[in-house]
Amino acid sequence: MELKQILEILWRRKWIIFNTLFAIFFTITIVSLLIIPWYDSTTKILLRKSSASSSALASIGLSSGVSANTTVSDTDRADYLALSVVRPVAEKVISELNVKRERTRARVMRAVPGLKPILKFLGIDINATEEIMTSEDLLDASILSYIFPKPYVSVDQYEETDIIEITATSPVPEQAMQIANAMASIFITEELKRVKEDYSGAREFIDKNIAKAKVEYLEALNAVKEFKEKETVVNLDTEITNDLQLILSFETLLRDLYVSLEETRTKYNKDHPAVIDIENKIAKARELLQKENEVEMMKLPKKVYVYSYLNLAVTVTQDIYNSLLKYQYQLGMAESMALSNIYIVEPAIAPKTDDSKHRSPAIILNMIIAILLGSAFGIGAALLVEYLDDTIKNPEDIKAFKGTTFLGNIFNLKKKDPRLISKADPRFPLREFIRTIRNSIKYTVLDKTLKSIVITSSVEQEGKSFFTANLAVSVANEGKKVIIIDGDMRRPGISNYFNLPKGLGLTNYMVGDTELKDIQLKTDVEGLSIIPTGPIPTDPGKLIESNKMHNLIKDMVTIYDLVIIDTPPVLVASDAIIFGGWTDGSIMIIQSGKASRRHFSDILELIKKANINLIGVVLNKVVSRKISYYYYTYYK
Amino acid sequence: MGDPFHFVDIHSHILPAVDDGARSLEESVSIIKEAVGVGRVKSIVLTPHISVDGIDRLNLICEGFNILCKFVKEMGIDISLHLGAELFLHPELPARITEEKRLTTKGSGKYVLIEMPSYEIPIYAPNVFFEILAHGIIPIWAHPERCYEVMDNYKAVYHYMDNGVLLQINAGSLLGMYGKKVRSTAATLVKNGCGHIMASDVHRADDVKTLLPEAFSHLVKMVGDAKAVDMVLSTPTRIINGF
Repeated sequence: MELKQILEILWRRKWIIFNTLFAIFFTITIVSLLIIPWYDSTTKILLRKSSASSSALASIGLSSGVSANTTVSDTDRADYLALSVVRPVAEKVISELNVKRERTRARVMRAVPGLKPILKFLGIDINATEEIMTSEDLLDASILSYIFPKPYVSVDQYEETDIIEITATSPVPEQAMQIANAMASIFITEELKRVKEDYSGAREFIDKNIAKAKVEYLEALNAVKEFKEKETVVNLDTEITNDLQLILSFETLLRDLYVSLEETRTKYNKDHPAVIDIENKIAKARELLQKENEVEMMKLPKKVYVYSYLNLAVTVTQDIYNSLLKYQYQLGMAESMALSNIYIVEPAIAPKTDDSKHRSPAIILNMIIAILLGSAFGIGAALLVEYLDDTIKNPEDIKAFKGTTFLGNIFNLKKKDPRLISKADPRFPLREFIRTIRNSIKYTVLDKTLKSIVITSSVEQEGKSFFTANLAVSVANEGKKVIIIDGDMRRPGISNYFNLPKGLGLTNYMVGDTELKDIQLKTDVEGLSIIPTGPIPTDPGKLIESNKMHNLIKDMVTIYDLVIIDTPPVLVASDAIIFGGWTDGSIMIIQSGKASRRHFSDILELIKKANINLIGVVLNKVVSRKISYYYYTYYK
Repeated sequence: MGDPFHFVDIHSHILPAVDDGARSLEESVSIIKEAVGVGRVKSIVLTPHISVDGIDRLNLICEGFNILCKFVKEMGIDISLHLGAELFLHPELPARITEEKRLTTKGSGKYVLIEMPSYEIPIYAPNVFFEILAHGIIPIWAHPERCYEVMDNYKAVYHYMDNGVLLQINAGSLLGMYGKKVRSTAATLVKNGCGHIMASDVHRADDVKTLLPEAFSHLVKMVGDAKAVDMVLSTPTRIINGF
């Protein structure tokens, strides 16, 4: 199909498009305006490793184990996104803020006034209008919450940063703010608690051991001091020192292993491979130390051995004590770092009720969507209706019936337009349309005599009388003597066009004893007379199918140049067929978009069978862009 | 174009009080003065609207024409006036034209100016044009660009053009006097070689002032010098001379 044709269809179906568009637009707009608005409020949380702690760690050479990098890995961020909206957090928020939602049935009852007694009758509790929310409810945005808004929480990463946005929505702006902030702070508190628990095992061990190591160190110092007071000082040669040094190193190793064993035990149970591994190492180290001691001690005099051993004890206990202190510091640093790596960077604030950014539904946006949606549906509907429509709409539809002459168009008149060309401005477009049709009739009939014609239509209200009256005026304007016989005794319409008083007419002549000359009324159009219907008879068919009627037409033809008979629609009564048989030809007027092709084809069949000369078809109320433009130009 | 250039106008409603054109002799004269002066027109065909049922007015029209010619001559205006008619399309038109030669341009029986209904091309149009052509008379279709069927599809004129009908474009159409749609249709027709003559179709003194010269400059842009001169001078002259 060509674009032009589509545009033509859309133009013709513009009312469907407009109606669909407006229906959808108003529905969406009104729903948007009516439903309780909800608001959203966002708290921003930054995930970061404390730079202060990192630099402190770096300064004491501990940055290798714990990265000084302050960004968070993708996995960590994903963990946090998930953790921030877990159920325990939501439960705490609900209990802390006492988050309630309006019950759906309360809303429905408010919207539908008559529902209350029915629900009461059904035994449904109608008094409780609010209920405490469940954590699942708070974390779940169902599609229903667009119609019945309720508090709801969601999290998201803020662009490509380490910032998490916790957004709460609620019909109450303050509640949205409170929930967002509570979610954030409770999440952080919970997170810190978890970190503290992680560190508490190690801390406990170190604290215990530092005390022990301190005591042992002081004891060792004291032992050396006492020994020195009792004995003269001994000098130990290097070899002995070396041997002792070896033992010392074993002892240190052993001690370290014990530290790590304790540490590992805080994390895993006693059967864990890591624990067993360390226990094995300890056993091995003990064995080696034992052996070394036995071998080396034999070589030394008792006094030297004792002194060396005491000195060694001092060194060992001092080392252990030092390393524990260092470890304690390191642990504190790590802990403080873990504690300070999430914090609120932007607390939520309560949105203003007219803040369109934080208010839903966004009415303007919905209206734009409604327009787009409405246009799409409207055009779709128009094309569908066009596809399903079987009516005759344009000249091409008539020309498609072989042997049928298309005489011309008449456009749809506006309310304020004159109905009769004799009363219209000389430039009024209808004049030209009627004149063209009149000339087309002349051209179609050619040399054959045309003294009498019947005007009919397919169904009622297609503009038959309107066309009859105007055609008669147009012919009369050529200087011809014309008479219209209003033969539509079911719905007479001709006299309305000529402002003649209702009075005697065709039926008076047919039934009564009124003279023929008394029913031929002169109109204010030069050369044009009419015979109105007169009183409407009960059985028009019988009146028409009489010799008197036939003779009347014969008489009129001798008096006038042209006799035009307005008859009922073909599908309403057979009157037009009867009149058609007595006249030179018939003209059918079809209203665009009214009669179906099937009906039209039936009519053609009927006319053909009755052996009636169908001069042609006039299409009334044609809707097209071409005509609209023409009309517009006239009014300009 | 140089100074010696002038126009020949084959479509005008200058004859007083016979149609919707000039309403009085004074108005006729003022239109002619404007046309000769600013409009640089040397030769005009007066083409009052005549419909088939108004042919009996011809004697009156001829009388009026003679009076106007005399009057113009006395005033010493340098212009040659000719009589023709703008005939409204009618099934009986071919018969009427052959009966009454005065309906053709200058009464020569060679060319006849015909106006179509402005909305559509009626079913009898092809036959009317055919019959006129069959009588050896060349029909000139007045302002086809103002017919809505042509506006809708300019190729509707091809059938007539191929049979030898001449197409006369209104100068005012090219200037947008009848609206954008008419202007674009006129331009399309001219650019596609569907315009043989450009004429003024002047009704009022206000219309005529710079009508032809101004539209001519548009025409030159669209079809070039040679063809433009052909449309406003050569072809109209040939029509008046009856070749």
